[in-house]
Amino acid sequence: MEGWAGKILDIDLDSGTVQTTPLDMEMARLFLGGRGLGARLLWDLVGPEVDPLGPENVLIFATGPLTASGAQTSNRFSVTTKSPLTGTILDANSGGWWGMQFKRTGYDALIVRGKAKDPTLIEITPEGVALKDAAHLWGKTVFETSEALGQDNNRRNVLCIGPAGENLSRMAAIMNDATRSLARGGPGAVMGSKNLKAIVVVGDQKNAPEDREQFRFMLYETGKLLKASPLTSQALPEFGTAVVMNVVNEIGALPTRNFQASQFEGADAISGEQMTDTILVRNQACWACPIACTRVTRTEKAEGEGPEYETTWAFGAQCGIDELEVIAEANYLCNDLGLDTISVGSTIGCAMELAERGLVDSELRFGRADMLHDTIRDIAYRRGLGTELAEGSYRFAEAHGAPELSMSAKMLELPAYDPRGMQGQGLLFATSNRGGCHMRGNMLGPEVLALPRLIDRLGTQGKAGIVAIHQDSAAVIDSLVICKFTNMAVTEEYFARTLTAVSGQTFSADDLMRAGERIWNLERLYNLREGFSQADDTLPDRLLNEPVQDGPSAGFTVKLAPMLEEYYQFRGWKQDGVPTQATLERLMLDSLVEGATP
Amino acid sequence: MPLVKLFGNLRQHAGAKHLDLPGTTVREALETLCTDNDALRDAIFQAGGLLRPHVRVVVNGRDSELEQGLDTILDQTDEIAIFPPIAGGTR
Amino acid sequence: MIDQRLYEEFRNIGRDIFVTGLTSSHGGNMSVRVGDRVIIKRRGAQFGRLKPEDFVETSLHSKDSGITRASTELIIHRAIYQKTSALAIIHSHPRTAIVLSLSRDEIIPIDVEGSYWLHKVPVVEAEFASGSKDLADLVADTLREYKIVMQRGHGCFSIGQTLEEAFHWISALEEASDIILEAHLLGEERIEYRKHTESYSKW
Repeated sequence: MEGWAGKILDIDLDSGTVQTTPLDMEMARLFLGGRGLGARLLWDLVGPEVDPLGPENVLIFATGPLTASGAQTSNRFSVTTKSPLTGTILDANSGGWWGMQFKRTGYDALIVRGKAKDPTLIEITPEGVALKDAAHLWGKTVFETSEALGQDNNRRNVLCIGPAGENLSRMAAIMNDATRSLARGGPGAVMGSKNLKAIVVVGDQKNAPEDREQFRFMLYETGKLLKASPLTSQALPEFGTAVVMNVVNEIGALPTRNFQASQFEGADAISGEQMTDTILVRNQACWACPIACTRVTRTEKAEGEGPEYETTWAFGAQCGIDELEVIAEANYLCNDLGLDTISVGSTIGCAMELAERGLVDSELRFGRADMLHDTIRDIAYRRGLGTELAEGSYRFAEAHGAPELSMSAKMLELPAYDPRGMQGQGLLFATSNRGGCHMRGNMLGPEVLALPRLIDRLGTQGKAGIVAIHQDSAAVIDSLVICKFTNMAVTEEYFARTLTAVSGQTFSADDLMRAGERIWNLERLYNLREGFSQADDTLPDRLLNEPVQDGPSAGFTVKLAPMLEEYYQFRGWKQDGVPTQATLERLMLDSLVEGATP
Repeated sequence: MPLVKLFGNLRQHAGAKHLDLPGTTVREALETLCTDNDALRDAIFQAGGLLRPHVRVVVNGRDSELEQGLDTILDQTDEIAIFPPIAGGTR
Repeated sequence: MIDQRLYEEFRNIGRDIFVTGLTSSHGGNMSVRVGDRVIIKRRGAQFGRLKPEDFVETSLHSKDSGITRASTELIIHRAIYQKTSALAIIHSHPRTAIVLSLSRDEIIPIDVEGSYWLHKVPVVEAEFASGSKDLADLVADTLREYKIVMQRGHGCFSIGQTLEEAFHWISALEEASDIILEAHLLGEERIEYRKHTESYSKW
């Protein structure tokens, strides 16, 4: 195996057929792997007529050429499908050990089609691929399932859904290695709709680099940069991702109580510093990672991993809750039930605002920490108000006559940054292919952390180019597949040379950025084919028209229109948001759309 | 008197989260902050009285790099927040 | 036409480049990309004393009236923007780097900072100094793999997401070049202190 195994495993749950098909190496060069490969395959397999929760939808689990190679953070993998929450193309990305182990079984990707008659699990080991009955596991939580199936980090890895996925919550996550998640956009519900409970992997093959000497050199050089960056060598290991809570709050970009304000008086109480001072037990790393940003934590009642910054925001500032232990326990609960913490927290905050306005009959109010855990359970089991909340904030708010109070873009709940205080982030949220998401470029670096250089977060000119390049770069990372935290210290210049050393094929930094741009445009084409348009490149009314009242971002709304115009120009799209023929030809995507969308 | 807020590991060095400190510019307030505290001074400043790379100083929510840096003039009700490096490297 | 903050960036970087001896009074040029437009220093403007009217905005792709006042090397800037993810380009004449480019095909730093930031800087050659499509394509193609390239006997092209980043690479290159030259003049046998030294030339 040099980078790519060259094989795709294809399982049809309807018939129980298991097949191996060769990976098209031309496709691999153009789309790399992971998210890129998933997008390319989904383009062929799932069209606009397919219901995301129907048997015709597919799940594509994909690794990339760097996975399991031993390069720093080469443990990650992705899942691609059509999202039951947004209806867009969805890829979600996770760390831990499962991706590494799956690669070691000798496949680049796994396609799961159809729907099993009864609860099923897939087991891939050196003995072969088996489909087994999983009725005894249906209803069990993620921890129970992982333990029952023999989860052992370096040797045997379990990917599964919990009750939320089984009950088709549109915010359900697929969990791997018990605490790592593929969460945004509800892929857990797709897995549940297929009656697929778990995928267990045990591998014995190696992704050994073709040029060992060059690989060792790149490992060394990359390691130097990771050590030199205070973010990857100090801040993240010491305080975790929640290290940014205080700085985002200080500049007035921390969405509070469903984006009604952009500073939270309880920010420090739920910050990374507070976590380190109180509930942190130790940090932890995923396979082959020198950064070790994972939090292992313990509260008075429970222990587990996390919470991350986004989770701490979602159950914290978004819900007006400043009790860190309650938030940590909410995180453990979401891990166990298999739920996306961002969407769940945001949806609960939305429900709190609707309840306060008398639009929903519920005792939920901002600050009701005592109701948080039960509400999360209700969402997973679809009981009480949870029956409706499980549909996500947009459908929920719409059903109660106030869709504008769902803080989402393309129906994916926005994460922990108020774009009225970070204009570039607003453009990012509005144009992200899977909906309102920060993991498709994150402008936190340039607009707040001065990474690589500080740009004025409240300005709008020139943002488009930086956003587009960050989006392309994120697509590269998601396709190699490695961790975006390395990208905060290391550039494509390095990734290209590492890939060259592993695969034996020459890649330049720009080859990778072109692949990123190609993947971005393909995802765009997919959404256009689904019926999305420029009208969907937008943000909630509150962010466009209600200025922030107090704090450093007071008076600001998101000035989206001029940024969007510059963005379409930069991307080589027409002003209606559709890629031009010249752009498609340059990216070699023109053959895919011959005769299709103009 | 301006309020200085400390974050990250600067809190351990300073032994406090917030301090009221006199100063008419950011530089003056930070100088007062680091008086008799070499560990804190070392964490914030490098040679020549410059801020260490990627130490962020934010005044009333506005990054001082977008104003006059250490020479930014302070009102007596201003809040200065200092963050240790949480970014750096080639990117 | 040109944003005040952007003008100040151009002016400050231009001054730094001239004052630190990285270019002669009127030589070199700089540009940034905004959307599908390029903002570039006009032909004949002094690097060290740039004024707001010294900048021309022109299209990334087609010819428009802007090109009459734009720098002669606009064609190279365009090619770089079309072929790479650069958002800023600086072309200057760092003299020690130029000296080294006369007798080698790549400049490989021997100091810590230079190795760390640059690893290796390739040297390319073209018959005509500027304005030719062949040179434009050669420089742009090289910058798909490297962030700074030397044109033999002429000067460097450096790219980044900001002007400051592009400036950083030029400054690092010239410092590394000075060190190489002075080590050579010193003539003492060097003690190799870095791991994987032989790999830098394969960068």
